[in-house]
Amino acid sequence: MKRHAVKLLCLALALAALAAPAERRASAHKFHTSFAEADYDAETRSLQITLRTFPDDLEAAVRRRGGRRVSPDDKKAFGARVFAYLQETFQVRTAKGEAAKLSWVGMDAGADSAWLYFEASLPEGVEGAQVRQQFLCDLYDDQINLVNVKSGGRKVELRFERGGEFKVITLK
Amino acid sequence: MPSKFLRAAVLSVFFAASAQVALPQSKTNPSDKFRQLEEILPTPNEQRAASGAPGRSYWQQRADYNIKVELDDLRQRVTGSETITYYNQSPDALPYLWVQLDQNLFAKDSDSVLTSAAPSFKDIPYRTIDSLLARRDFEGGYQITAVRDAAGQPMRHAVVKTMMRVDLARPLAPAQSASFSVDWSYNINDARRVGGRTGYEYFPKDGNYIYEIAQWFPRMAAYNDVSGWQHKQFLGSGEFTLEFGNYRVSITAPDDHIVSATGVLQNPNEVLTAQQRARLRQAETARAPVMIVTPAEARANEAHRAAGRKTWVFAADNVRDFAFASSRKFIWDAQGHNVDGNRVLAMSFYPKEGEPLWSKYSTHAIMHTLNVYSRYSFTYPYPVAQSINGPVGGMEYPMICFNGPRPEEDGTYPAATKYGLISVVIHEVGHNYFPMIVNTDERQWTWLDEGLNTFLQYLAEQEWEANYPSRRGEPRNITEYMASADQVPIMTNSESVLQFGNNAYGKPATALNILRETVLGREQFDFAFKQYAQRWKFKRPMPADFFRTMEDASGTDLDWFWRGWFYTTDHVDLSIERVRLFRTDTMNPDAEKAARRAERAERPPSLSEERNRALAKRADEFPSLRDFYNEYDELVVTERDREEYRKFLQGLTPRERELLQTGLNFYVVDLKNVGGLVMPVIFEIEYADGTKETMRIPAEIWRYNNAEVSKLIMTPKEIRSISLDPRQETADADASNNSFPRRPVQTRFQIFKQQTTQNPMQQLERKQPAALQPPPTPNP
Repeated sequence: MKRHAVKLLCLALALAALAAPAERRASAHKFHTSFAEADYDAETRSLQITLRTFPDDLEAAVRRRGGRRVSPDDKKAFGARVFAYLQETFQVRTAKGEAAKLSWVGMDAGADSAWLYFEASLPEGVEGAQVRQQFLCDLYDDQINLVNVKSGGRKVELRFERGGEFKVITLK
Repeated sequence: MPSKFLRAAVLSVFFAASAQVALPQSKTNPSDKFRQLEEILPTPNEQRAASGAPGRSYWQQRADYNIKVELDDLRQRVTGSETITYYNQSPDALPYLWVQLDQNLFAKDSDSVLTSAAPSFKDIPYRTIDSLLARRDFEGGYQITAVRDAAGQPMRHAVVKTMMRVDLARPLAPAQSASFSVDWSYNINDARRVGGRTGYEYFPKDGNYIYEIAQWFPRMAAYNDVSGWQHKQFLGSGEFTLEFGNYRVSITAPDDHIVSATGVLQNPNEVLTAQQRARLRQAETARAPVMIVTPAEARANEAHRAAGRKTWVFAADNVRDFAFASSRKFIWDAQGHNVDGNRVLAMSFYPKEGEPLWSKYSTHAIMHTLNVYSRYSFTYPYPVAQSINGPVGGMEYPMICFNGPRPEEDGTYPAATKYGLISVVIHEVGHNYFPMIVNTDERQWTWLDEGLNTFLQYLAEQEWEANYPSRRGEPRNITEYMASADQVPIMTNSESVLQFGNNAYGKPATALNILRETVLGREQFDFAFKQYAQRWKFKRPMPADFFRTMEDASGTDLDWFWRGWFYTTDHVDLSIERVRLFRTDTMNPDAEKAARRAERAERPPSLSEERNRALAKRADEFPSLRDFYNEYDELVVTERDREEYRKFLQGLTPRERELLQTGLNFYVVDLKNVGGLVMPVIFEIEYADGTKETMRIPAEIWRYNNAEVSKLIMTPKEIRSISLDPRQETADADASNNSFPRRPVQTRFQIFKQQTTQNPMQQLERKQPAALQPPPTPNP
C-alpha cells in the first residue's frame, strides 16, 4: 500500500517535469555557476578547496535551511552554518568509497564575492577519490558547479549540475 | 682573424622550463589567430557599410499602436484591444505580416515547456516542485478573439506557437502602410511561482497584488535586411527585438491603483489628486526625490478596496515596446533631472516591503545611470525613466524597468542587497540605451545588448562610490570561467548559450573593458564606442556593425580580438618559459681573455678532477715527455692578439666601433601562449639597481607565430626579475607562469591559511567583543 503511494508520487513528478519552466530570469545576477579550486597537498594529504560564490546566494542558501536567522556579519555563527551547508552539498569520498572528513578553514566575504576554504582529508591520495558538488543546486535549477582538481602539475575539471552523481578524480 | 661582425656569445642561461612544443602551424592544422574576419562577417552592402555605419539604403520598418487594456484585479487577467498601423519601409512587397505572441510561452503546450529537459529527481527542492505544479496548473497563453482589417472585416490568420501570421488581401507594397486590429485576453502568471519577465505578486498579509505587465500585447515581429522576418520562436531566454513606433495606451485599472507605464501620462487631471499633481510639479525642479504617494498614504491604500475603475492614458513616441505596472501598494517618488539639456523625470514605484532601501537608492541610481550612460553613448532622449519594485528580478522595457531586491522584513539589509539593488537599477535603466534605443536583436544575440550594457554598468558602478563591489568588469573576475571547459563562444544564439550570465554578460563586458584599458586606451575606445552608439541609435545594428565600427573609428585592426574573444573559447594564459642573456664580445683580447680566465677559475673542479689531482703523473716521472704545450697558456694575451685587435678596430666604421663598446645586455624572453588567446604582452622589469620599468607590447607580437615568440630586451643594466601582466589587466588565468625567475604563487587557500594563526572560528570568537580587544591581525 505504501509502496503504491510512492509510485504514484513518482508518476506525478514525472508529469510535472514535462511542464518544467525553462524560462530564466533576465536579472542582472544570473551567474549561476560556482568555481572551486581543489589543490591536493601531498604533505598534509588533504584536498585544499577554495570555493568562490556570491554572498547573497550563500546567504539565501543558508537561510533556506531554516533555523534561527543568522546575519552574515555574525561571522562565527554564519561560518558554522555555511560549513553545515557545505557538508551536505560538497561531498568527497576516498578512492575506497568512504566519506572523506571535511574540515572548515574559514571564509572571506566581500560584497561582490565570497570565498569558502575547507579541506577534505584523503590519506590514500587524490587519484581515484570522488567528488559530488551540489552547492546552491537547491536554490537554482540551472546551477552549474565546476571543480578544478590539481595535484603535482596534473589536473582535471569536474562539472556538476543539479542531481549529478559522484565523479571519480582521474588526473590528466 | 676575428670577424668584422659582432659575435654574440651565450654567457649564461638563467632558466629553462619545459621542453619546446611543436607549433601547430602546418598544412593540415593552420593556426592563424590574426586571420581577417571578412570571410566570416557578412559582405558589406547598401544597408550596412564596410565602415560599420548604416549604409546609404539602410531601412527599417515602423509600427504604431493604439491600445486599450483592462486589468482585472479579481481574476488576474488582461483584456485588450489594439489597432496596429504598420509602415512597410522595406523595398519588398509583403504578402503577410508576422506578429509576436510572447504570452504563448506560458501555454501548456509551448515549445518552452516541451523542450525543457527533465529536472533531476535526486534532492529535488520543494520550491522546484511547487514551481513545476504551478506551471502545470496555470492556464496561460493568449486567447485571440478577433483579427480585423481597417474596415472591420475578419482577416485570415494562423497562430504558430509564439507567432501569428496575418494574411493580407493583397501584398503590402513598399512605402505603403496597413492598419489592422487584434482583440485578446490572457491570464496573468504568478511571477513568484511560475517565473517570467512579467506577472503578478500576491501579498498574503494585506491581500494585495503588484502587477508588472510586459510582453503583453500582440506585437509586430521585426522585419529586417539580415533576417527577414524575425520570427524565431520565443523559448524564454532570447528576449526580443521589435520595431520603433508611436504608442497611445489606455490602461483601465481599479480606481485606487497607481499605474506607471512607458511614456508620459496624458490625463493627470482625471487620475491623480490635486495634491499629487502639485507634488509632481514640485518634483520637476526639486533637488531630492519628492514623494508623490507617501509611505503613509500607500499603507492607507493597502486597506482600501476599489469601488470603481479609472483609465490612465499614456503616450510614448519612438519606442520599440510598451510595459506598465499597477498596484494600490505603490509608494511613488520622483525627481526632475537635467541630462545634457534634456529634462527627464526620474521616478520609482515600490511597496512598503522595499523600504527603506528603495526611497534611498532607486531614483538616485536612475539619475546616475542617465548621467554616465549619456556621456559614453548619447543623451537620453526620453522624457521619463522609471524603476519598479515587484516580483521580477530585473527586466527592462522602454522608460520603465522591473527590479527585485528588497530588504529584510525588519528593514535591515546585508550589503549584498544594497549593492544588488543599485546594480540592477543601473543595469535595467541602462538597457534604455542598449537595446531599447540601439535596437539590437536579443532573440538572436544576447551579448550584443547584455554585454555592452554590463560593460557600461561597470563604468557607472565605479562612479557610484570608491571600490564599488562590481561583479563584472575586472579581468580577474572572469578567468575561472574562461579557463573552464564548459562553455560556448560568445557568438552563439541566445537560446543555445551555456552559462548564460558568464557567457553573454560577464565575458563580453570584460572583453570591452580590456579593449578599453589595455588594447586601445580610453581615449580611442571611448571615441569608437560613442561612434557606434550614435550611428545606430534608433536603428538596428548587427554584430558585424559593432565590430566594424570599433575598428573604423579607432584606426586599429581588431579582427584578432573579436576572433579570439567572441568566436572561440580560448582563454588567456601567457607564460614566460625562460630568459636567455647574451652579451657582445668586445674582441679586445685583454678584456675577453681575462673574462674567460675568471670564468674558468670560477668553475669548481669536477669530482674526478678533484680525486685525480693526487695521482702520480707519468709526465712528472719522465720530464722528457714535457714540451711547449705543457707550458702554453691560451689565455695569455700576446702582442699578436693586440695587433689583430688594432687592425680589427681600424676596419670598423665609427658607428660599428660605438656599438662594440656599448656593453649592452641582450635578454631574450621566450614566451609561450598556453591558453590560446593572443593578447598584448605587458612586462614589468626590475633591474639589479632596484629601478623598475614597464614595457607594453601589442598583441601583434604573436602574428607570425601564435604559440611561441621571443622578445628581445636590450639594456645596459642587469635584470633581476620580469613579471608578466603585473596589474592583472589581461585576464591571464594562470599567474604561476607569469614571472622570471619563477616565483611560487600561493593559492588563495594558502594565503588565507597563513593569515590565520588560530583557526578562524577561534579567531572570530576572540574578535567578537571587538571594542574591548586590541586590533587583531587584519582580516581581508
